[in-house]
Amino acid sequence: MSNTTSQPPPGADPGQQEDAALDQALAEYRDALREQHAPDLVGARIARAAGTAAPRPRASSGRAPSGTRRWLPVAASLAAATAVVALLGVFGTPDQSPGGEPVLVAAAPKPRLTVSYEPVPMRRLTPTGGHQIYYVQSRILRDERGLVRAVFPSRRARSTQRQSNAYGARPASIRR
Amino acid sequence: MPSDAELIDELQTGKRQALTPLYERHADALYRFGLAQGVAAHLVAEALQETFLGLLEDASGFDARRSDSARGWLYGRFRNQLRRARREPPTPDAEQPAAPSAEDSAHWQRSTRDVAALIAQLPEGQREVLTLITLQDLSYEETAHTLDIAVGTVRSRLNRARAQLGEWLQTRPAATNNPQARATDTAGPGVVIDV
Repeated sequence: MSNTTSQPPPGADPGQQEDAALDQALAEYRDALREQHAPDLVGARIARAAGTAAPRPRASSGRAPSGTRRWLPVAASLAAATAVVALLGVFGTPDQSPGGEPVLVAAAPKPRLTVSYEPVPMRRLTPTGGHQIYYVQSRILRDERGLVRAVFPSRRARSTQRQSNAYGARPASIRR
Repeated sequence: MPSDAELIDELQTGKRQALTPLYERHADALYRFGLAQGVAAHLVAEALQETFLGLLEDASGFDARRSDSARGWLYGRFRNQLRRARREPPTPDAEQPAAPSAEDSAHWQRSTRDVAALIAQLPEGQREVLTLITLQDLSYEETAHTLDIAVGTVRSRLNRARAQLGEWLQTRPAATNNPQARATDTAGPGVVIDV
């Protein structure tokens, strides 16, 4: 029922008109909702944990994985990262699709990681559409070559990020 | 193309590559369902991730005799993860009002966001039924199966949800067209989405 508009017949009673208006509003909302796509989460998270390139766009949909843009700083939850590390131990070599393309991102050899705690610059959106840089204390994992393999912002930082990224949002005049 | 039941069978026997087609088949629908519940996009993504990663550890519980599609079953697991995500404590830093990205704004015009906010204000049971039937095109029977309720309950919740939404839409026409009215009206339903 995409892009449908329901017009009440001439002389319709107020109840019918209300129903038509509601159907119209829901149809518009559904159309907008259908433009939203799930981020390529599995690939993104495994790729990030493996230190490989950014997640590939999904060929089937022909669109960029827009949802991963905000995903990277936000989703470094410890529990999730733990799950990824467990996954990496399982995926020895990439599975191949009939076309020869890897189905999941190839797992790199397990690096020996060192841990340090440092402030990390992060960005958050402002109501005016700009962005603001701020620093949060984070746990950083580096490999033998000193390359950063994972960043875990503090719990407080993650909750702040979530707050600033929550769409659907409250107007500026509202304070919790 | 393997069915959902076959893919889940493969997952249960340790063939983890079955996760990818399952994800690509159902992730978008689940993601939209989560958004329609009024949950912030990053929490929906988080719940989605946990739902599918959880399948790697435990893909039991799917009954292929009831339906060959895992859609309803996945909705059930995803709902649990969504609830978990929503239970997270409120953030201590409330100075920064949440703002949509420019990309979000392009997709979510004000009128659409008003409807989304109104739907988010419905009681959970009504909201889920309305979302599954009206926005996700599930049948009454599929919805009843997914939510583990009777078909009659589905009908009554849908009617109540539509009645409530219709009432709100009638009483808030100015807010959808007048930005000033929207910015200053803080008491009515559908303004604040609390995540």
